[in-house]
Amino acid sequence: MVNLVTSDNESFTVEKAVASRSVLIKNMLEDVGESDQPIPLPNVTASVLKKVLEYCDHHKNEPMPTSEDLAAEDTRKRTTDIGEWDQKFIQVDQEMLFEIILAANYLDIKPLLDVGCKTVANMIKGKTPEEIRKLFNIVNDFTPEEEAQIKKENEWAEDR
Amino acid sequence: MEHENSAILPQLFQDLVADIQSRLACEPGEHAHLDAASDHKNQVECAGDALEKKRAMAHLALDAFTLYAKRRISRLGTRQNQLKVTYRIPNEILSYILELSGKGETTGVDVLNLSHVSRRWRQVALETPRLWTSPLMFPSEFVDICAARSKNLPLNISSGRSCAGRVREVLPYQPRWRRLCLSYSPKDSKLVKSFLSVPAPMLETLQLRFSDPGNMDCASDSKILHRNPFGGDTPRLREVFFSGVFLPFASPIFSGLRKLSLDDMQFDKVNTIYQLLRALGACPCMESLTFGEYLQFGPDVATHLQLPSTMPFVSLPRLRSLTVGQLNAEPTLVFILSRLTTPPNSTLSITVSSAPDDLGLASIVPLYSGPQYNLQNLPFVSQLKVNMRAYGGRASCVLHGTGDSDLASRSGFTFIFWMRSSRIRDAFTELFKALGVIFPMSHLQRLCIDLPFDGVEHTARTNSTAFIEFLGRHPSITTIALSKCAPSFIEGLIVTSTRRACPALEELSIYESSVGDDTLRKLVASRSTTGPDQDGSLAPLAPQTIGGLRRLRIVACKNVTAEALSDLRVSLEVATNDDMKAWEHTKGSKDDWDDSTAGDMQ
Repeated sequence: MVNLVTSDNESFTVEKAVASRSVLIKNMLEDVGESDQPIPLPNVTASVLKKVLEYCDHHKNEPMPTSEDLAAEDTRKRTTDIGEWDQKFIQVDQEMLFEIILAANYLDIKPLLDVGCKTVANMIKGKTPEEIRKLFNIVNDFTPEEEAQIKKENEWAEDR
Repeated sequence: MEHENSAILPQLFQDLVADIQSRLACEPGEHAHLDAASDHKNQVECAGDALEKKRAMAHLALDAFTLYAKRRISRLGTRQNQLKVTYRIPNEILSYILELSGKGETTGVDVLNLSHVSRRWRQVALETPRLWTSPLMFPSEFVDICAARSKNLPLNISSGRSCAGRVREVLPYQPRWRRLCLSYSPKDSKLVKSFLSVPAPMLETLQLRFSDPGNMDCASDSKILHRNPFGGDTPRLREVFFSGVFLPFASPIFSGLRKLSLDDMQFDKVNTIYQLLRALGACPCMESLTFGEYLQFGPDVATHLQLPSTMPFVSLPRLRSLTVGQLNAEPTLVFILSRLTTPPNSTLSITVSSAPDDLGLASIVPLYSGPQYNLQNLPFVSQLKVNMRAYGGRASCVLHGTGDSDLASRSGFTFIFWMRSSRIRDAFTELFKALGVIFPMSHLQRLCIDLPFDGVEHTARTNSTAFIEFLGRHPSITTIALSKCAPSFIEGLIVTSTRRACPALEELSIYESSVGDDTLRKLVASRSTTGPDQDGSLAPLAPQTIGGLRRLRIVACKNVTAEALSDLRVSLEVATNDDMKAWEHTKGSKDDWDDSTAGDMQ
């Protein structure tokens, strides 16, 4: 078993196979060897780690993508399709969604990062800039010069 | 509103104007000009000029303040955005998200929109080259900008028939073309020829679709589009789709392909067929091969085709899908099929709109000539579904074979062809005469036949004779489902001293047949291993070489009585309309094969 300690000082004891879905933790375990020392995760809160571990537990028996797999991955063939279980898993509020993406990035869990990114990609697909801003509560912060350039690009697009 | 009456506004504005005036005063040339001009005007004009000057100053002040305020608002907005969780996502991840959202059914406007959300999104979008690799998705003014934003990545060039001329806009980037999908008409032929004249080192996919009704100028081996396309230099080309376009198969561009689709082409020379076969021989990694239904062959081609002794079979060990469409059964295509060796785990799909009555299956599939059938997926078929229908004097036939999942998970075939048989039973007879003869099916275990010939007479024994002979060629059959078949088909399954069809038969399903009690009693008795009933009504006729029929399903057979069913249950498991549910899990479910064959028909 592996003991993980979150940024808000909560401890999680999980199977090694579950924790090792994170390449970061897997490498730490390999470096440290057999040890009872808790592994600190200063960039992940308990609520987020709980979700991440739920994902890792569900996928614990799947083969880990090798570095060769990742290198050989044809980015052109990437799609935004998400498995059924993963879709349900990632149905969380927006704050949590981005926290999961950040945690997956930090913990180096590529498949989870993919699920998060694909979910956000599907959310913004086909939307206007204003709709995207509204969706993520983003403020239009373009300078007047940039606004002028964007206006020009929109005119080109409308002329088609 | 309160803020509009702010007390500091007049002073603020006055100070701003004064500041601008003092700056302009530093520009003597312009000022001197204004002063000199005023010397020559009367007092009223001078007053007017002064007011105009003040007004201009006010405008300048307004512009300066607006610009300042907008920049200030922009900076505040950026700071506001930086507090959001979305902005904590690193650039490379946002870039990946944008790239993903630009996939699939995306327009140029969709991609532009991603760069119009905020300053950060724009910065990341402009630094995500993959978003900009389809320049023709954007308006002409934007093509060069798009090509620049895509850095040095290979480009996807795709253009519909109405705007094929737009390919000119991306000609400067031809060495970067990775995917070229172009539908064009005669007016753009010169353009196409021009880019076929230079190498395409990055090209991976080439899809050319030429359409000009009645004109085969570019689509015949007598009038080819280009003699030496790309100078033969397409080292990365893997996928080729041609429709209405003919390029010489002797060209090196036809080597190393993984996908090839040909349609709407005219073959007039026998040598072209040999060149095509040689080209296929140079594609050992071919995964998908398609011959479209509008391939045409000159009258002399089929008659002059011979098997050159020097030409080996074309081995396509990685082939997964071979698709052939034909308006009329083409002997030349059968010849081509006869020269290909396909692996057991591949699928073959043939659709023929009109096959000769007298040949049927033999006119669309090469004849088995041993010792090993070259289309190796066909002999591995373990389940065969036959569906025939009659429409206005024509018979359609759908054959769907699937392989044993243990042997070859994806093996199988689908043949759909139409015959002009005036009598459906003739078509049926011809089909079953050919099945198992044209190509062997030594692994066949499950057979499903659906003959929904409403109103068509099909009781003649000639029908069932061919069927019984077919069964005799396939002793491995264990499961049969018959729908709307004449009683003579079922009679053919009765074991006699001279006839032992399907010795391994375990399950039989009969749907909507006029079969009667006597036939069923005889059938079950002849295949029973439980011995005679006490009253002797079921005589034990089964020879020892016959395995026992274990399950019988009778659905919608009006002539079968409850009494007979009750008798039959003594010997084997019998299900009827009422207990269909109990059979749902069993193999050979009618629903299974009905759904499948219905899908094939569509």
